Amino acid sequence: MTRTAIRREPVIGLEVHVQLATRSKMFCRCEARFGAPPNSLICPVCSGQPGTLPALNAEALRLGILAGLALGCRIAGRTKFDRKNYFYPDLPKGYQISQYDQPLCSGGELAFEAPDGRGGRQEHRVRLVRAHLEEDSGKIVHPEGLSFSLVDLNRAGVPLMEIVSQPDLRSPEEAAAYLQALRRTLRFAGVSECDMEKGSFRCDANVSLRPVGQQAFGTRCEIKNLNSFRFVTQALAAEIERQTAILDGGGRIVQSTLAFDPVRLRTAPTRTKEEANDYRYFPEPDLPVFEIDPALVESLRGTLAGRDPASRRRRYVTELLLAPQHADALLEEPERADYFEAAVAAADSTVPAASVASALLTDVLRLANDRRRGLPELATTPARLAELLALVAGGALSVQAMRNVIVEMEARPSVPARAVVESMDLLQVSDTGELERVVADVLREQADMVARYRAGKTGLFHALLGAVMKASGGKANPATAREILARALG
Amino acid sequence: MSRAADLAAGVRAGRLDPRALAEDALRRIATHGEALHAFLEVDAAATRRRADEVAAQVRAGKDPGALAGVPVAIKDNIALAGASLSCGSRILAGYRAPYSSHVVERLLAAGAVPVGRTNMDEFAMGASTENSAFGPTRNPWDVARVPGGSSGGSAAAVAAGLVPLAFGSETGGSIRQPAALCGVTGFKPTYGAVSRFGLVAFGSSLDVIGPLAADAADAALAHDVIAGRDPRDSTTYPGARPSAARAGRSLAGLRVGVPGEFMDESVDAQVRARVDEALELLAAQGARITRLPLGRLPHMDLSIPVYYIVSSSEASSNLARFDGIRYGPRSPAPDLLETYLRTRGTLFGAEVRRRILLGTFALSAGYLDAWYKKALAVRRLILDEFIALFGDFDLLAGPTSPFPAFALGARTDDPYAMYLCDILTAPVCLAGLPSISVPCGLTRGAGTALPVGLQLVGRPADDHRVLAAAAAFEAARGEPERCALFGAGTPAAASGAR
Repeated sequence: MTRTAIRREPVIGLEVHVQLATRSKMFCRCEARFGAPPNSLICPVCSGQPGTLPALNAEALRLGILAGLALGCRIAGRTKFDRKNYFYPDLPKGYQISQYDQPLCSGGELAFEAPDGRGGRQEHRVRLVRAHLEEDSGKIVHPEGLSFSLVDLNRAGVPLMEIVSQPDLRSPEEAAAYLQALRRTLRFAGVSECDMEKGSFRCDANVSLRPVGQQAFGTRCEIKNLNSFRFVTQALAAEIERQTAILDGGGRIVQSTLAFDPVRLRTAPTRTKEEANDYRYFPEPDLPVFEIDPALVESLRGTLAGRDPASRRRRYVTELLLAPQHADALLEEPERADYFEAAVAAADSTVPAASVASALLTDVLRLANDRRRGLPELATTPARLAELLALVAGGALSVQAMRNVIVEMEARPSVPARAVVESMDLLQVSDTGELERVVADVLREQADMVARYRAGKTGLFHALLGAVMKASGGKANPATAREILARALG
Repeated sequence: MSRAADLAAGVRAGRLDPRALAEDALRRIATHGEALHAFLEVDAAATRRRADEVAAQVRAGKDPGALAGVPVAIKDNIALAGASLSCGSRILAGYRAPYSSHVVERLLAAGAVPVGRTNMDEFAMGASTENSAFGPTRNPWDVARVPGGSSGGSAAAVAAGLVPLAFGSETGGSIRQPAALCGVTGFKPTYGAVSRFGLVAFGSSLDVIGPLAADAADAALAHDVIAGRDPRDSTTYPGARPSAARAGRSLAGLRVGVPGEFMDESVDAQVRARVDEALELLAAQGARITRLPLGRLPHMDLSIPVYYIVSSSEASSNLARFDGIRYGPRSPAPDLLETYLRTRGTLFGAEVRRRILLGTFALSAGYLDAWYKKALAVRRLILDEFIALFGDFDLLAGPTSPFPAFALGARTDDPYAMYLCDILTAPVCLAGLPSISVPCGLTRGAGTALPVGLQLVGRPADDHRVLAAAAAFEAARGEPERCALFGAGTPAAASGAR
């Protein structure tokens, strides 16, 4: 059966679960840490022992408000928790404490750029429905080849924020770009590590197709638990393909919950029998209604001002004249951007921000990587880097030499940058008089090469320049040396 | 049996030996325990160890606290680390609490000596203790009758003089009703006055822990020990005040309202007669009694349906954790769903299953508005009506139970007849008010004489006033009739010291 394919567009909405970066769990004092031995971070409360009660971790509420503000949401004046009832072995109480009809945050919007499919980039705005707080469940482990399953409750009760977007996304690439932007925004707000590998950033995707131009949505399917950016794009592409094939064949989409198989690159209905779940939400009687202090909201808003990646990117590109790709690279990690801004602030006016960015993105990052340290822990502080870059700007240090200085500087935390350079005898010679003498010596020693150059072998210029640099012990300012050599050769 | 207050005073003064008090309680339990089945577990070794610990404190010159050396019985739904926490259910048979409740922590810090775990209706769902999976408790006044419930074990233990003090929990009447049926004093504090941390939840917005005692002074002493803000229970409030039960016993000028709804024809005539006499006694002491016509609590007649919808809805969620996965026995099955169905289908009793079904229904999509939300709205009206009454009165009074203790089995075939046991107590629970039941005489005429309870109800957080009024009433009333077992053999240690 062949028929003329109708042009359809995908309609995608995402639900993202973000683990809030609290030290302890949401309703008890157990540590909220990843990677501990199974069931080593549990107590009577989070393991659902009879008689226990939840007590809200105030830090979870604070981070939730901060996340909402970072996403431009309205923060509720009062918010409450509800019970979402269902049975599953990883759910110790038989219900999850979540928020149903009075979420902490509602509305909001995330702006970001995504590839436009023609090699350029296009700005997108995705509206948010809501963001609410809830507790995580435990984890079920199926030991291979055995007939039983095991439950690890370390994760049970860890605070999550569920962020629900409107179905405003139209392609897998847009969805991925949205997720990247969301992750970046939350990381910059200090709300979450958003580490997909550690499960602190998880995504469910709702997808439907509709003929281009049609307003009404098609029947949607939900792909659960996408835990890498690559899987999100792959799963969405696979699901769009599956739905397209069904519709092209004259079939109908059945609303269902799917899982993505990353090996076969396919979406398939989850094995658990899909029933119309009735979660029987009702207000959590063990927790009061929480009044949110407007003064707290305003003070949190103040801490975020100007620190979000979008306004930072704008500042980097328009005021600091960074290349957009440098700006993006700096804004991948909050620590990078913070380091960058501190170095720019410390540097004198001779140092272009662009050179701070490139030194950070190449040399300092390599150093941090080699030493397996975070940027904030480096002895090569933003101030010392700024000092070094001032030497480069003044022609006293070559960019190549700077790399070696940075390594040395890291080993000598208390020595000022200039002293390190001096002790390494790397201060560059820009003194024309001295360089002219060096050039004259080289031309004398290399008379043969000079003759061939003058006979037309102009390619020998680089060899001669190399000889000059060598004769200067690597300290010659390359630009000055080139200039003098060119002049001397006529 | 002596009062808890006297025993604690004796221990603190070094006149009484906690170990002797413990041995005395253990002996009484051993003698009468089987006939009454008030206890589900008595750990004699732990009791003795604990008593010796308190004795050592006294010897070391330390004051063990307000309940020094007092043997106490604790309902089997209030966690005591290492002890049974069966809630009268097979689904928790053999489960041992891995932690102690706030109330137990407070009791231990005050020098109390827990002797055992008392019997109860399964998960506190019932008014006769007949719903215990481990067999009913019997009324010490007549072992053919029920002690009331769900804290029937605690009420019977105090009534029979097995222990001077016991603790129960109340959701719809479970402290006051068995107190009335057993002829002891039972106090239900304001909702939130006592931490629920460690109380196995039934109806979370209603559950409260309170004492059952020989008199209001002992109840006040116990309440002062357990009440107060606990950060682990967000519904507690800090307003616990030292009880004024012992001071200011005057009833003069107290405005007492008697709502017509509490004294209508459905209440047993003998019960009404005893309560009338109690009201006369209050009046003779200077209280200003006002008998109100029907209509001041116009929604009270909806209390039973509202109570059963709210408490069962919450229970359906609270009891979801009993799935056989993490603790308690499990009925093995080939797959997960079947495991749930078999475990919960066979290990919960019929009444618990009925309430889970009722609550699940009331919360279901499409029914939520008509049942659960409507019930919450009516609950609010009931509270408002009570609060309006408290504009005119300091206390409300009436009978605790519409009838005295009934025969075992008399109401087990008709759940609704059983639910009516709570008709005078459930509205007070829905409003979260403090209330006490004090003995006010016995039924007369043919058959066994049975105790009748007078209920006093106060404003929210007015726990001290309720206790003080009850103590004043008791002072005017004099020593109440006790069942034959109660006096049988004064504690050896105590008599020796006197």
